[in-house]
Amino acid sequence: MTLIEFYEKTGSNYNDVLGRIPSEALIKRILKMLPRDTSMQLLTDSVASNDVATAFRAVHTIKGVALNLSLSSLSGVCSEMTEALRGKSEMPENISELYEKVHEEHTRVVNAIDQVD
Amino acid sequence: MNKQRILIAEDSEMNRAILASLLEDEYDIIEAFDGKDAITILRTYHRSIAAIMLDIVMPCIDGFGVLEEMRKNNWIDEIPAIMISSETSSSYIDRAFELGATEYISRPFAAGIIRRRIKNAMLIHKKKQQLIDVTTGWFSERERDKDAMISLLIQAIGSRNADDYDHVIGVEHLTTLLLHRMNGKDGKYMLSHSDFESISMASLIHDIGKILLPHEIVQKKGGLSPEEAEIYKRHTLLGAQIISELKLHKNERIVKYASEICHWHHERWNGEGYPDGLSGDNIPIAAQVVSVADVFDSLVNGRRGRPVYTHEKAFEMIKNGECGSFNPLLVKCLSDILASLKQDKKIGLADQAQIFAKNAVEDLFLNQDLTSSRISKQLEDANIKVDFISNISDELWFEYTIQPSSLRLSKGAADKTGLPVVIVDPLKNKDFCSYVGESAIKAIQMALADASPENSYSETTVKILLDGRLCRCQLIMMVLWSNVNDEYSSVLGKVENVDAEYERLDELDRELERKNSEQILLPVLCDQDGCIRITKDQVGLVLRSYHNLFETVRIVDPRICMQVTVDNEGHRISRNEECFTVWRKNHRCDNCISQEVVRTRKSQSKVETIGTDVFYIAATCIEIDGIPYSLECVNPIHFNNGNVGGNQNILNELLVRNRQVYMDSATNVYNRRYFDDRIRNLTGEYAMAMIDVDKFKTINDVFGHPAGDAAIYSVAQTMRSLLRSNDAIIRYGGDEFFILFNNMPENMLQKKLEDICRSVRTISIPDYPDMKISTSIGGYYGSGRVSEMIKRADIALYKAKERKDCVSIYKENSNDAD
Repeated sequence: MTLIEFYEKTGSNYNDVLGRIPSEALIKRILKMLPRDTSMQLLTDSVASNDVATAFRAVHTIKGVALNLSLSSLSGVCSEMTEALRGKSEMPENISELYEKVHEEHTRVVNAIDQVD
Repeated sequence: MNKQRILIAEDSEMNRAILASLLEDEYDIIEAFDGKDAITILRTYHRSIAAIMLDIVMPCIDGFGVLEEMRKNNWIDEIPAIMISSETSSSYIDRAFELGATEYISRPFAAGIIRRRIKNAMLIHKKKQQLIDVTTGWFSERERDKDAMISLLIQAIGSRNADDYDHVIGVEHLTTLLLHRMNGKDGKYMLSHSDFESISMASLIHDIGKILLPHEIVQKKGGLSPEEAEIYKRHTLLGAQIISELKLHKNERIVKYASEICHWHHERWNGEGYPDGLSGDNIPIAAQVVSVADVFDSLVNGRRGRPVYTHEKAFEMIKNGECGSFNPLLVKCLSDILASLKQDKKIGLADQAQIFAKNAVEDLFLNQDLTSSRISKQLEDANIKVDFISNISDELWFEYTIQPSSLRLSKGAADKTGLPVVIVDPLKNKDFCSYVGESAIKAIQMALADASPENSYSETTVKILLDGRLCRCQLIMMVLWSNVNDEYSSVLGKVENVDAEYERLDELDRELERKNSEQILLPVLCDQDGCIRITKDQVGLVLRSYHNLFETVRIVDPRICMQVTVDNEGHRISRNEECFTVWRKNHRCDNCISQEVVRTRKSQSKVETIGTDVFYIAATCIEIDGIPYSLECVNPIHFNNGNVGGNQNILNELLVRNRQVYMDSATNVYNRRYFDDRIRNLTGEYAMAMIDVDKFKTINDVFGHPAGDAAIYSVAQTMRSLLRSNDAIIRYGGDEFFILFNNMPENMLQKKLEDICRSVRTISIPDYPDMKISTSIGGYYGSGRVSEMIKRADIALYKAKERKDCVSIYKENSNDAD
């Protein structure tokens, strides 16, 4: 799968990212870092252990990465979760629903990245 | 060349990688995993780091925490901090800038933009540092100079005592701290930043009066005899006297404060001090602050062999009234700054100067761009111009600036009033206030309160002493607004003595009272200009005779907006009312026709409204004993159709009333506006002509402009006399006329135009028998829009002008005129 196909598949805008990171090789290099990025694991763990502050930070980080890589659907769900956690001392009621969305989208992106040549 | 080094502090490896990959070509990158890591790296490498890219949300210590640490260690002065975050809320951004960040970049960012912004941030930071270095150097030089001057002064006072120097510096320092602490506390004593500086600086010479004391008393250690003590006390009055004898700078803020401080720094809150025994807030606040500083510093430094007390003990003594009583608020302030005072002692005075200088520069930097020297040059130029004009002008004008509060008078104004050219803080200057008077100040403040950025022009009439005589003066003011908030930054004003106008109007008013049994004779209209010329004793007659025809008749002096008027019984009524008050306005009408009438000596009319009522005003110039006024005659307009027809009908009605709008006053035919509004867009079948007066410029040059005026008037009237009532003749331009014939057959046109041409040729004006007048006429007959057809008439006119004094008609198919 080419980079363009990847962006099409994940519902994101390839031209957008190219405007920001001007080399295809660079985009690819950074994308390939995503599967081994620990932020998702950190999010999973902190949600499981009810650690609101860490969960906020983790999802915030994923959001930042997604924004810069123009992974709009991933940044969208992250943004939703970030706002739900912002300034909170306890997990909101719909936390598992929010988390599932982020996890699902993240998994989808990571799987797609694996197929990029 | 070595690459500059950038520190990226960011907890996400991916984000670091993105940033690093964008920047590594140009910069040497160091990465920090979180805030704590970043601080460790900064501590080691801060001298070699050119900029830091800082994420906000990080574990342990976040981006704000790093900024705070950078501030604490003064790294923020050396290294520009560029924040990077997906947070876009203004509270985050504000906080970052408050903590000293140079840039804020929100995610997602583009490679080009981030490179550019890092460069900019580094550049701005570098410039700021250079500027701070330069200014700091300058400040410390000034501080050094100050030290030298103080040493000199202390020597002059006759003291050989080294700790007197420390005392003076100590008092100044303490004064500054107390002032900052005190300002605005409990809502009292609101002083400006420049007040602080002036008071602190002035505190340096609080003991200057000692110069005039006998040396043996000043230098005596230990107790003074009662007689000696009395002499010693005189240093307060002597100090104030020295300052009052200053010829220059008399009105400067610092001199005012210095005088207060010298005079009263030994007064006490309960009135037991000297020399005047003032109490409470009768003692000027500057002197109060210095008195506390003076006593406290003497206690902790133990001058002249007296015991040295600790800060705490000294404070206790002051608090318990052992050194006389002080303003409780200041005692509270002293207690508040006690801790920091001890700390400060450890820092050398030179360092303090550095810190002070730096803070001052940073303050400046916060508010303005110091690098824009071009702008300051322009300002300087403007000031030079103002100075120049002010010095050569006899006119009375002034400029008041809010910050710093000061009033500047033109030379003329200063001469006439005897006031100084510059008055600092005029509203607090007793001399100024008593000179101008409370009521005048109130009137001016009210006039200014009415001004707004939309309407910055304001005028009012006040009584002011000029050359020792109380005169009614008109103040015309223009308010300049600061662009930060809706507050005004300065006021420019012109003062005009209008006493003579008022007196004349009063005289007219008295004339109105005189019952005149003579038969009412309407005044003769003089000359052709329509200006009424009468003598003072005719005023009553004229007003009363016009009053038969108009509801309101009044004589207005538009310069001072004052009026004289008669009521139904023929008596005078209010004359102290401004002419615009009847229209429920608080300033001169925007379309003041009286002003126009007096200026041009020509009649004018307009329509004004009061609520839903509409009035028609005709104004004519009336010269009373040679002085021009405006005679305003006002009648209400009653609409025949009630208001049923709506706005359009009212408008038409008004347009008819305002016939003059469409008349050319010099020729008494329609003007160009009439053509534009009523004629140019007509469509239909018309005969028309463009007429040009031949060699009109030569007529003006040879016979003069009055001859030219007479010629153009005669041409217009001659042509008009040959037209039918439903033809329209328009003065189209300077010497050009346009005629639109209504329902004229094509074959009549040529003859008609030739009639006109011939009649004009026979004009002779008695005063200028040698003047020959002729016209060139271009005619056209056709259908379409007038604005289009007129072009063909114009082409025909050009043809006619080749020969002059002839008629040419445009021929449709030949594209040419015959």
